[in-house]
Amino acid sequence: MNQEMDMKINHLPAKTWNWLRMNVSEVKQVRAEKEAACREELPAQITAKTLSREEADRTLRTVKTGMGPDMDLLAEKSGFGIRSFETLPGAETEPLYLSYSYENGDRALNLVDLAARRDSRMTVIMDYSSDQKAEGLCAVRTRLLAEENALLRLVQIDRLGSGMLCLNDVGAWCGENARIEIVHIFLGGGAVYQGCRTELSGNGSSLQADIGYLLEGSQRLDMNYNAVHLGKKTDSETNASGVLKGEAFKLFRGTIDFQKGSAEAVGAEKEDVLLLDDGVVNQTIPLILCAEEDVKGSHGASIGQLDEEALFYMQARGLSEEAVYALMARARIEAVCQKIPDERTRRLVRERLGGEAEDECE
Amino acid sequence: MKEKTYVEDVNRSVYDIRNEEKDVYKVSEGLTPAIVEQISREKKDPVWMQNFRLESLQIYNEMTMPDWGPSIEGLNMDEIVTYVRPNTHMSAKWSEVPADIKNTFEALGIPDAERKSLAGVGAQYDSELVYHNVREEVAAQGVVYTDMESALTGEYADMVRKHFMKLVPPRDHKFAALHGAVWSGGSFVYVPPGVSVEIPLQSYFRLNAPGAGQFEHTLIIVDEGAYLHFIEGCSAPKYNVANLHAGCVELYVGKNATLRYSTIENWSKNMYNLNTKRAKVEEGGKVEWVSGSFGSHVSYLYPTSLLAGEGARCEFTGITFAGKGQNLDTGAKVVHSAPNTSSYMNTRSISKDGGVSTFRSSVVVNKQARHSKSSVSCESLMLDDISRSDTIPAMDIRTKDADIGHEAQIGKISDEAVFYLMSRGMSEEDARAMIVSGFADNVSKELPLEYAVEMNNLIRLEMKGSIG
Repeated sequence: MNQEMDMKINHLPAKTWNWLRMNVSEVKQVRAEKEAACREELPAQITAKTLSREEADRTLRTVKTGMGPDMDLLAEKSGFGIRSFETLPGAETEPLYLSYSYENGDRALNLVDLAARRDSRMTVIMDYSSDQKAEGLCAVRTRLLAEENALLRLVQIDRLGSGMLCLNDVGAWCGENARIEIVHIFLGGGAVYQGCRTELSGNGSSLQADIGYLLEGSQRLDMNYNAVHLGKKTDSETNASGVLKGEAFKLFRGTIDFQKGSAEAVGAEKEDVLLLDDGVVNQTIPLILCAEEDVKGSHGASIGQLDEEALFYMQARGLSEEAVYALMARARIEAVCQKIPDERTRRLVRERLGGEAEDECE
Repeated sequence: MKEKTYVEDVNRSVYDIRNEEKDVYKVSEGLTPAIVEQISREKKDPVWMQNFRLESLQIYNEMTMPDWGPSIEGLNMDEIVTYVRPNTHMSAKWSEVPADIKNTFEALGIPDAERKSLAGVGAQYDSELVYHNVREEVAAQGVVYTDMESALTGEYADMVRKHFMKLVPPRDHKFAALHGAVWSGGSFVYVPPGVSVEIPLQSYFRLNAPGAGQFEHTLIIVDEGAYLHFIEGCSAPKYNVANLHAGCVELYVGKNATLRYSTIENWSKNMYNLNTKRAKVEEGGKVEWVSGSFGSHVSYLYPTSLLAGEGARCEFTGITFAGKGQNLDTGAKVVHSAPNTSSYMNTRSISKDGGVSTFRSSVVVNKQARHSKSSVSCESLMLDDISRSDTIPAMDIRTKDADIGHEAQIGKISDEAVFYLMSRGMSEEDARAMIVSGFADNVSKELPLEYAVEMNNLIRLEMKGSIG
């Protein structure tokens, strides 16, 4: 695909005042020229295929992603195949590693489908990396399917260079009593856009999403997480925790959408943001949409600096204010890091952070 | 199987009094430069106001409808009469108000409240005030409480011109522009420095004419160190055609002054309530909004506080009760633009019988607002599974030295709480009504007793029904 595309992505599920500039994000002149090189480490009991769009859509066509239709249009225009991985029913697999590396100037799009068949357990680690000064496009669309009683864990780590535009889009569907666990860690990239939409369709299905970010300089992170409750007794929990330094910009859209029929569903969302410099911009818009009576939804956010008592406590133990903030910033990312069900990947994150707290993460 | 409470529509007999239109003066339906000029002539506007109206109309025609809130497709401006003047003049004596209009306000309890607990009252009927009075001892303190038209040409004309639609300029949104073009009625209040008005002032807005709009303008200036509690009430009988309310409230709260602005909105359920309220708070000042939204077919209502001076504060306490046929989009906005400012929002919303309630808010903390604090708490209650309740709070923080907290919860009435109350002899209906009244106590405890009683009555009536 050599045509450039202006994309409108990360649509807020219910619009609000336009002057806030949170309803939608625009990304201009997106061009995907190739698929990024990917090192696949395929464990037993997971099969891999490259499918045409038509073949892949037979299973996952109805799965909508967080970024919205423009990402599907980009995928369609690219004509690239879809790399599809699936477990056997009842299988319990070792992690599948998909490591994408980007050279300076790469403008790449990869399309991935992951299917955890019934009663299986699947863990997928996707790592995006490049040189620290690399420029280019890292666009990845990942669609997830967790069938009845399946557990699908997805970890996506952004370790991109400061000139990279990252469009990371996730769409998931969850069957009866199935569970999806997502960990997102954002440490790099110049401008990162993250979409993530999960349909909890089956009764008793659940979602756990943990998001961690450390942004500095002029980095920009624009997120759109949406947990759609359709089935009865569904459960979602989304936790976002991060640190903003320099002139970093962050927009967190987080939605719990209780649709009619989702009786006895529970949805919770929590955000904790530490602001370290006066040049930062922190935007947050947590939505609870509710068309069902018998549900429980909650959202909590804490934005700003450290609690004075916590600061005093640490200072009383001999740490300077600067050291306390550095420690607490790292602690936020490491708390999310601990959710990664794989030591090798945790080490990658620690290395990027500076590698001093190796043991703390375990 | 769980039992459900069937909830009836509110008994609106008091609010549904309809008076025959006798010898009223009204402009044609629709919105044209000729109609706007006609309103301006009728109201004997000064030249600047004539021009202001026409410029606002032009802005109205240039701007688009909002694309983010409840549908207002049922509102056709070509069918709205923007100015209806009853066949009477404003008076300071109820005995001089025409009997049918006076009886309406009597039924609504306004003269009685004035005698018992108010420092002054303004009563607007359709597009004009029919009664305005302020207690002598309050006037003796230098407090000015008058209708907007008198203020526009009287002693305070310069002050009015300096402040009129400066906080809410016509370009703010389409219905602010509409207001600028066709506004009529409303009150002007000025409280001099250091004066504390111990008992509240109240303006009551009554829209009687079917298919009409009401566009009153309220301008309140509370000078340095002064205190005022202003109460606003509104209602209308229900018609089968759309009515429109696009009022505008501008509040200027001076250094170390406090203004409490309380509203119980009970428009009829054919009303499009597209109202704009905004306060600017100077150093050490405080604005307190207390807001109950019970009526209207569609409502867009978000009182806004601009915290402009160091240490300025705002509190917003609100409740919204959306029943059958209602889509009430309410909330608040606050902009922190100075150091050490603080804001606190505490809201409740209730949806039943197919009603839709949306809590929408924004907290903006600008770079210069160091050491500012904000806390937002909103709770929603769903009373059945055919209703809808959405929460859309936004935060935009641009300084590291801020302390921002937000909490939202949504749920239903606890079965355990209903069971507990029923085990102590209450009917399920009474138990549920009591729980809902308790849920709304954030607002009722902030209102003067008489108004809290009225609000609890409204809730009780909304909750009245049979168990099925």
